[in-house]
Amino acid sequence: MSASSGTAEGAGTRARRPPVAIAVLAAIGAVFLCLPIVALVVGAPWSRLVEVVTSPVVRDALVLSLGTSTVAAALSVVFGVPLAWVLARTEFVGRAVLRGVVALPIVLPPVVGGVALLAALGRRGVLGGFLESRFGVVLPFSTAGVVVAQTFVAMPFLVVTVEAALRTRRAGDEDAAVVLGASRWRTFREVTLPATAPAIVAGVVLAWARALGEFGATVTFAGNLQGRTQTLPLAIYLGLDVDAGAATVMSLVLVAVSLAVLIGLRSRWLPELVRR
Amino acid sequence: MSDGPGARSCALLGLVVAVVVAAVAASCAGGGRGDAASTSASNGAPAVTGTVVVFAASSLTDVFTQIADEVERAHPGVDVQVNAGSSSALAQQIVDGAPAAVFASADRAAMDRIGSRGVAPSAFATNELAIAVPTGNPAGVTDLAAFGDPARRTGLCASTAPCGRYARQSLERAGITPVPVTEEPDVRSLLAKVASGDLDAGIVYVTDVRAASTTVDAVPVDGDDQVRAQYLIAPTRPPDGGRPTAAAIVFVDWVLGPGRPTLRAAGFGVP
Repeated sequence: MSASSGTAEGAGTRARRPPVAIAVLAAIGAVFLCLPIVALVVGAPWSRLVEVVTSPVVRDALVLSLGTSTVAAALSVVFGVPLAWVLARTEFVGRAVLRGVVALPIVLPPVVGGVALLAALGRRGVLGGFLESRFGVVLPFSTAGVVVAQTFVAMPFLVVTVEAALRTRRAGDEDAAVVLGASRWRTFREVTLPATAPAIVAGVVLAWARALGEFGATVTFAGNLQGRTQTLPLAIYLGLDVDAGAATVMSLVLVAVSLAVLIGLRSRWLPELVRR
Repeated sequence: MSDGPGARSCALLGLVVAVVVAAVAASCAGGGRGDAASTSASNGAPAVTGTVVVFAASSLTDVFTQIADEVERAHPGVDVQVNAGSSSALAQQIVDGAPAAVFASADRAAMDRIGSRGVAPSAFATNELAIAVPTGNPAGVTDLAAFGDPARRTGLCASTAPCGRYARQSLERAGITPVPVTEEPDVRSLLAKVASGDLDAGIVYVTDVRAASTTVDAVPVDGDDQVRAQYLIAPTRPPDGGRPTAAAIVFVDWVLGPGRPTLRAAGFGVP
């Protein structure tokens, strides 16, 4: 109906201006996502920042959180990348079911994950009793238990990300490498891995961030003890009861750490992902 | 090639939005209750109606569910919803504007925190501590000394929760420095970890052990080390001030009167 008006250039600019409805909904969405963070920053007792961050509880929780989430992210790579490769590149009975179960922790309430971990690795669990009697290993209420809980909820993010990248790339390069005489292991190492590196990095970031923020599975499976299993999210939750100001400051620390990682990695890696 | 995943993620986003909208709509539909609390005179006898949201200490979970049934039977127009949790966490939520109509706390400190939101708190029950152990007491726990033994896997409530404060008082009296493997946010999550067998022992209330008697056994706490927990209840003002609802007062009066045998049967001391 407005065919007579303007050049192709003008039409292009107009097409890029959103319809009013879209603009309004997008604005509501943006405010909804930004407002809580802004409120957190504005409402924080900034004068207490140093005092809170250097307090033993927060220091212990921060150190524990950084350590456990890094180990969880590393474990996710070690086991998640091969799992993603198997899911993307091989055919076997039950693959679709396995893929679904592997991704389940992404949507599962974390508390349920914690209960499931207790059922498997608790002292009376399927595997937990054996681990204790045979090796003297008791995972619940240990720092290792925190890593287990975090890996359980975080690894699926890496698997799904890497698997998607592998599936959108055709196996042509790998086939060529094998035809040219490379072993399957060498092909994986020198062709597949470099080509999926951006996806792996993105998966690691997602997994690490998820592990850093993990609460439900951790408190259910690993309990809460300062210096051993009390990660920053647990300290925030319990601190909220007694000192809401301190809890806000701790939340800011998590926001800052998460933001720093996101920004730091975005400029280096995410554009490559988007371009692909 | 990039169309496929894009379309898929759009569909997924649509699904997520739909679910969120449905959830919000459902919770809004359930939330239209504030104005429902009212007293209407029919045939001379005032019939109280409305929903009472009761914020109750975690250790009151079972007994308040029973008392809620009693109140609802006696007052068909009243609907009681019990929200149980750590007393201090609930107090903080009330201070932050949670729509509680009644607050029942496991100690005075938590009740004091809600300040003028609570109207004339009354002591309505007492409780004592017990050592909960998994059925059969596999670790052979005999007294509080187990909580100072690093070889035992023991748990306490966090000191933010009343059960954690009481337990530490008791241990201090017994001269024991506790070495717990976990400090749980509230008494019921501590009890659950004893029941599952993952903890050898935890200090909870006598009434908790009774409520969970199929999965845990009780080891008594020595009389000298015993601590008496005092429970307080108060109808609360709405977040924007004003008076407690009639339905809230009905519930509180029931707890202080006709509900006493139920409290006693659950193992609480009743003044």
